[in-house]
Amino acid sequence: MLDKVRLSFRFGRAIYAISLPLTLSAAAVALFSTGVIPTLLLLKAFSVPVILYLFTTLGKKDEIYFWLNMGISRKEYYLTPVVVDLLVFIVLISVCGFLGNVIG
Amino acid sequence: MSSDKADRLLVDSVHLEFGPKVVLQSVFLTAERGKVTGVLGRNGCGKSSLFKCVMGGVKPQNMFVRFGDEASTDYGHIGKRIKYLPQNLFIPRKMTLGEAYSLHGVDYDGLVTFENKFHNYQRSMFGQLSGGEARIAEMYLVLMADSEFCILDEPFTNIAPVYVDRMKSLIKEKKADKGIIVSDHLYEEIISVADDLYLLSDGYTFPVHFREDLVKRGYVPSL
Repeated sequence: MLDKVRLSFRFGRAIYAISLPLTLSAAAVALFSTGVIPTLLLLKAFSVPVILYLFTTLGKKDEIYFWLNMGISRKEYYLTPVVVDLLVFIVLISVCGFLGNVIG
Repeated sequence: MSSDKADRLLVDSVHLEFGPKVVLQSVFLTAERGKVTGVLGRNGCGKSSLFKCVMGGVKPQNMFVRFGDEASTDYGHIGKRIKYLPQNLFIPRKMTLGEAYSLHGVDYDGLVTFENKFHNYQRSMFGQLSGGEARIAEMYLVLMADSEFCILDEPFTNIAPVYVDRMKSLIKEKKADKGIIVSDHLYEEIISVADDLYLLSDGYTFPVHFREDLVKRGYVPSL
């Protein structure tokens, strides 16, 4: 599983690249205003299908077979980066929310 | 070759439709270790779609895949057992050739031995190669990667005749280790390398034994 997560940083690079600035911005907002965390989570949830749609439509279509040839399933190809990204988002927002409360 | 590897691949009852268009219906295909299976068919007849269904890239309405006598098939991770060369380039453009080979566990020096011009390309991004070079590098990767079967979709596209002959030699060499399915519009090349031949037409597969079978199905003109 860890191998697949590690590989997802290659095949899901586009997802991470799009999400990272959004996640960091959201974390900064959560640090100073913990009350907006539910709204940020909701926005993140809405952004997932949009990012997934862009990933599937804008990417080179046959590149998926490079990864399928390595034994990665189609579901793992699409969902691993999304799930990892979501987990990072939740952890970061939680930590920032906690720090925001401590500082505030 | 370890004994837990299947000698035979059976693909059966493949049905694929996109809306009202039926692409494949009851398609049947087999491959065996030690043999090259050729698949011919007109443009748009569904050859690539069939291969993509097997690999999990396209979801068919129905499909049955069996390795040897195994009771069940792990469709999700079929790439561990079948390597696929798609019609279009598939190695990520921003990946070095060395990394692509390393990830697939294939010795890069083998490619250099096969074609010396690649000795400077190990750290080159795949996107920097010419179309023909890229195709050769991909085809070599797919043939040399550890697998029980491999599927080559139009492997001879964009490569010079001298490389076609060398690739055919490599296919004949590698069929000792794995079953190989190959499809291309250079049908004379396919006929010369294939042990078994199928024609895909009107959504069905037909075994081909004689050139007349191809004429009868309208794939090649009559002489």
